Order: sequence, then C-alpha cells, then structure tokens
Amino acid sequence: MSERKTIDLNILGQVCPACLLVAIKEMNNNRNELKSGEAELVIKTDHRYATRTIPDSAKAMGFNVDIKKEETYYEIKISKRQ
Amino acid sequence: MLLTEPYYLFALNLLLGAVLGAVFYKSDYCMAGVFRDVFLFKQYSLLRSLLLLLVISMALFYVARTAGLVTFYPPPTYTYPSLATLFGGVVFGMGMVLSGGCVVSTLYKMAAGNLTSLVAFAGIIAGSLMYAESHPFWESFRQRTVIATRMSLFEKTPDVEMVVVTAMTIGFLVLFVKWMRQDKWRIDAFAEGYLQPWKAAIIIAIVNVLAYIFSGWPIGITTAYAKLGAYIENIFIPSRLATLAYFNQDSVVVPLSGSIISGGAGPRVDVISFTELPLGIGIVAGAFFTSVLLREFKIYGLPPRRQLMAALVGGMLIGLGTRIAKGCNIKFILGALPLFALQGIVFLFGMVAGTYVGVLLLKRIVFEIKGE
Repeated sequence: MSERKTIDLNILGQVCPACLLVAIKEMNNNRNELKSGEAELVIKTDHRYATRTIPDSAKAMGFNVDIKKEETYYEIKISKRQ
Repeated sequence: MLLTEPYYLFALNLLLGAVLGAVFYKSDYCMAGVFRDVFLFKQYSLLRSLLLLLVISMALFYVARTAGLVTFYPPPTYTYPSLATLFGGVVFGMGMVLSGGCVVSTLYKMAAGNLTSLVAFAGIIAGSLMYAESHPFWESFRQRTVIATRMSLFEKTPDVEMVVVTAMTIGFLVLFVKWMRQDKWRIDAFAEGYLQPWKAAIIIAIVNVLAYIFSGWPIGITTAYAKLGAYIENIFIPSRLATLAYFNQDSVVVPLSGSIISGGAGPRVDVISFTELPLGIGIVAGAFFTSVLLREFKIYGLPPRRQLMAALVGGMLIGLGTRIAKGCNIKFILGALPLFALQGIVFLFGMVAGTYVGVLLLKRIVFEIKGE
C-alpha cells in the first residue's frame, strides 16, 4: 500500500454548499480508485460547516474518514473503508 | 424595562451581538444552511434545533409579555403582511442559497476572514441601495396588496393565544424529551470548540427575549445594512441620496412617554444606530475574536469565479428581498414567527419557496449538475 496515490482537493476560502458539492463531485469522479484503495482523497477546508457535512456524506458513500486540524484549517482524509 | 438612554442601548446591543457572534460561529448556526440542505441534500437534522429555538422563543416572549416586561406589543417594527412580504421572502430565499449565507451568517463568516462572505456582504449593501431606487413602487405595491389588516394571528383573541401557547409548549416539550431519549439532539462535528446547535438555539432565544425587553423589539439587522449603504452613497453621490424617499423617511416611529423614538435607513444617527448597527458590529466582533481564539482566522483568497458571482448576485438578492419584505429571517423567523405575527408566517412561505428555486439555480447554473 506504500504507493497509494493522494488526490489533493483544496477548497480553502469556499463556503457552503460549494464545499460539499465540490467534495462529492471529486469523490464520484475518483470513485473506483478510492473504493479499491489505490488512492485517497485529502480535502483542505477552513469552513467549519464542512467538517460535519463532508464526513457525513463520505461515510454514507461507504468511505473511511479521518479529520485533523492543521494550523488554521481542517484536513479531511477520505479512503477505502477497512 | 426599556433602556431609553442611547449609550446603554448601544452597549447592550453590542454585547448581545458579541454573544451571538461567538455562538453563531462556534455552532455554525447558519440558517441559510438549515433550509437549503433540506432541499439540496435532504438533510433535516438541523431543523430540530430551529424548532427548539422557535418554541423557547414563543414561551419566553409570552412570559415576558404577560409579566409586563415588554413595552411594545406588537413590536413597532412590524406591519401588515402583504404580497411584498411574500415576494420579498422569495427573493431573499434565492439570495440566501446563492450567496451561501443569510444576513447574519455572512457577518460571522466574513469576520473569520472569508472573502466569499465579504463579497456577499458588499452584495447585500448594493442590493439595499438598489432597492432605494425603486422604493416608491414597492411602497404602493405593499399598500395595494395587504393580505390582512392585523399584525398577529391572535391579536383579537388573547384567550385563544394563551391556550395555543400553553398547548404548543407542553406538546413540543414532550417531543423534545422524546428526542433527547433517542439521542437525536447531538450533531457530530469535528470543528474545534463546536457548540451543539441545541445549546446555540437556547442562547439565541434568550438573547432575543432580552433584546425585546431591554431594547424594545426582537433583534433585526437589515436596516443597518441599508444605513451603512446610505453612509457610503452619501460620500460619493450625496445629491442622488437626497432625492431618494427611502432614505428620507423613518421605518420605525414610536411614541414613548411624551417623546418619539424614530429611526430609518437614512445616513443619520437615530434609534437604528443604537440597536441594529451595534448588534451587527457586535456579531462581527464576537465572531472575529472567537475565530482568533480558535486560531482559525485567516484570509485564503477568492473562490472560483462562478462561486464569486453567485455570492455577489446572491447578496444583492438578499439586500433587495429584505427591503421589499421589510425584514429578514432574523426579524421574521426568530422574532415574528414565535409572536404569531402574520408577516413572519407569510415571509416563511416565501423564503422556503425561494430556497427551493435557489437550490435549482445553484445546481444548474453555478455547479452545472444535471438531473438529480
């Protein structure tokens, strides 16, 4: 699993519902790679609302979600469910 | 219990605003989001805390009124509902979805350094100025399309109101306790310092009843936007401003123990300068300090062009809609609705319809999502 690809999605400065819509679009576009574990999606957002809505949707789509706060923003990692 | 000394009034509203700013920021209590996400993502969980907010407000307003703590009922900022209330609600609802926030969430997001919200803020001011140009038309439209010649549902039947308020309070309390047992109040969120929306709802309701008791009427904010716009226009084109009826009349005129309290959107120091204006400044300050404390204040730059356009146009629609309806979601949903004021009920219908249309526009035009 060492060469797992990371897809970066920077939505810093964007507000709702753009954050979630953009995130869903990205998840759908890379659905197969994310589902198979070939890739993981890392979303950077400063929008607090999105730290609730994006994980909710990602979990509903069957992904594993990790969130951490990085300095002034939040990093949401979406990957294959173990 | 009314504060009549302008400086006390100013200080109180600044303080209430700061509390609201902190609470709104921490809980991300975005009313635009609550209504929008129902249509956009079929997400209903935040509606619960809004219902809680409305029921607590209803009970607190009623107690405050019957205990004689409230000076004005109905609030002098209210008027008869008209088709303008409905249409303004539709325009406002569309704007709120497109801009990504209502008149308050725009403030608390902007305060944390968000430029999209700053653009929406500028849009709201621009929309308010655009309204001023067409004010005479809307004024006569309002007069010709009055829906009911009473302010509130139970104006002539206080006994019925008592029964309804009591029954609704008890009925909803039972429901709320049931939701508590089912653990339906908790919202999972990761944001640092997240304040659960149900707690935010209780604080907001208390702030609003305090405003009603000490400041004269439940909180409002949009006339302050128009006033801010008037001050700006007065710098650049004072001759134009002087000709506009909207800026030369008062929107609130209340006789009080011999004197008259009045205020409006014009570039003058009046009651709006001691109520809505400090409330708005307080919200920005409260949210700014909270975001700094959480180490989240930062300016990240502008969003993609389409989103930027949506924020600007959405903001303008909010400015126009609130002026056409003579109020926004804060005044009408948080204040008028729990007082059973008809303007609030009519505005709610318009706003929900507008939210639906706004979601369609957002999907089709801004994000180009086809079908479902």
